[in-house]
Amino acid sequence: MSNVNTNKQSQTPTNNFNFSSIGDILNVISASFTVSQTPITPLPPPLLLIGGLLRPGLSADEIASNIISRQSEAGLVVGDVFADGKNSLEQMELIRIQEIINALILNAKIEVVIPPGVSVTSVGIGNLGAPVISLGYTTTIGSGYGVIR
Amino acid sequence: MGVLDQKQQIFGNIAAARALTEGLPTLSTNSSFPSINNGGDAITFLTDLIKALVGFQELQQTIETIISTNLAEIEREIKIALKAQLKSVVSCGVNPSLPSWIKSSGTGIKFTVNQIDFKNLMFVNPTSEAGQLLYNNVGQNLLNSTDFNTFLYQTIQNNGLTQGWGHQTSGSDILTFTYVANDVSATDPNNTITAKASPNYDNKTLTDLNNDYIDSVELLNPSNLLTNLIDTIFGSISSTLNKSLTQLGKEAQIATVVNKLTTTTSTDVIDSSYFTFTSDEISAQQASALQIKNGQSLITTNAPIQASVPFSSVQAMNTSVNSATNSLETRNAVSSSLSSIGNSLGSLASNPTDANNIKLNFIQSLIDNITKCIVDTILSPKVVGIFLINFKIINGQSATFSDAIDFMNQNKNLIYNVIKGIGASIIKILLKFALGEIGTLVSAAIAKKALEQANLYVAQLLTLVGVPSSIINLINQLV
Repeated sequence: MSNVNTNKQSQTPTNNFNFSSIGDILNVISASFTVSQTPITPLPPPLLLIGGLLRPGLSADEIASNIISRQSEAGLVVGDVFADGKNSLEQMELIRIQEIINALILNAKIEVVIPPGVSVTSVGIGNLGAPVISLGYTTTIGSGYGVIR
Repeated sequence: MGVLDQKQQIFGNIAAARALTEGLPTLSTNSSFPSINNGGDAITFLTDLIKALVGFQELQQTIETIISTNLAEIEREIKIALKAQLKSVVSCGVNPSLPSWIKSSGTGIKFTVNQIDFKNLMFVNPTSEAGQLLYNNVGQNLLNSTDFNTFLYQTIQNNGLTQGWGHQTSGSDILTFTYVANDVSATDPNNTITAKASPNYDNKTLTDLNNDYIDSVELLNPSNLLTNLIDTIFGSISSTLNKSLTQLGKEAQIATVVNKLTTTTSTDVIDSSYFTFTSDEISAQQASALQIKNGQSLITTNAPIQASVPFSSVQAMNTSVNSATNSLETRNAVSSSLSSIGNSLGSLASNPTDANNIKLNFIQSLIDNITKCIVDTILSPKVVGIFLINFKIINGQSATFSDAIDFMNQNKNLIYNVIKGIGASIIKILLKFALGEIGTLVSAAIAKKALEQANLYVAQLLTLVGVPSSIINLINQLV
């Protein structure tokens, strides 16, 4: 009679999906959440050049006020009417946003990379003093810096 | 990453996708999900996942699928396991051919009814109201029934007459059975059945006989399985039959063993400890037996509720499922029966939240008990009988299984493989369903993210041409 101890280890192939294994099942489910990231569409450079000048810049107070005005969407009390004294949640919201914006404005640095192959049109003076226009493209990577405002 | 961390991350991913598609997160991964631990019970985890994804109505669909569509596949898997186990039993013997004493001209193999009938099924008349829920194919002549248990019951009623089994389902007889209630020579004990090979099998091997017998019996039937599930949870039939606490305690032991084997991992060694019980387990079995005897099941809501499913409801469900002629009709019948019972149970609650929790617990109980109910089929005379015959051939006439737990212990390979096979079938269905729902959720999240990116792109373009952000916010709210 086959009543020996049943060591299941030897019966379980490690290279196949095992429906008895919680690990295999968790791996399959975790993998199903993985999706490839698609890059966002770049903004048109001429518009960026012009429109960038029109940006008003970041305002911690404005961001905090927008968040506080939408607090009711999350079921939170807005204002001091129903609070016992000052609404500390709203005050905390303002502090949080101020600190985040301060960090971004005062400490953040933007690094810009310009890829090679950017078209270049240049004007120079020829041997006879006549203007010479040359067309070409950059051959090296360029870099630049900026700050968040 | 540990099992618990990975489980929490999955629920976190669902919450994140939900937040993306529906706004603010609505999913909480608190203790209401019993699977959020380091345990290896995949079925409970998947049911929790489906509950988190879509709710209990959809969870009910998985039960409907298993009962209406997947039983044939599960039965095939079980029969493969049964044949393999019987073959391993036979291979322990010296000679694989039939011993002369089991051939049609021999003295046969003798066993008493209670040695193969652990659940006292043979005490219930198939034509009675309860019997019609426990047996299959109960027609005019029970000896012609395609259900071996029904055939055996009638064989026992025909004291001293030899009846053949096999022609009912496979054309020719495989075994013959003779029941003697009281042996006048006092050689055999009362209620002895003598089994012999049919003359057709005198020149065949024991493996041929075993395989053909296994193919000749129907193991799983939608209406019987559903009936057994309801009885296991609420005791609707057991209380009507007035089963003893001792008997119900033994049946609760089977559930304990099945539960313990269900949660084993591939590295666990299945030894005899799985078939013995701690004092806590015995207490739980006794409490379960008492609940079943009273025909009740304790449901925990804000206030505990003693729920029951009337015998008449089980009869109506059985009739409805039995009258279905194809899998679609079976599915509809199962669906309407479960919804009807769920709504009836839900009406016991004092508020809608509790009502939903009761319905959810009901469906969860069905999934939790389906493996045990399928294993019950293996522990009925139609399977235990052929195993006892083989056991006696190898170990002698006096060898026997003392009870269901001893049978499971002696055939632990079989029981383990069957439980894992059933578990794999259920996991396949649950996993397919969960992955489908995750796919829908992730797709919706991707679409929402793409829409958000497009809106932000347009908004950024607008700010670059001088449109104030307040106007852009207004436009975004309109989109």
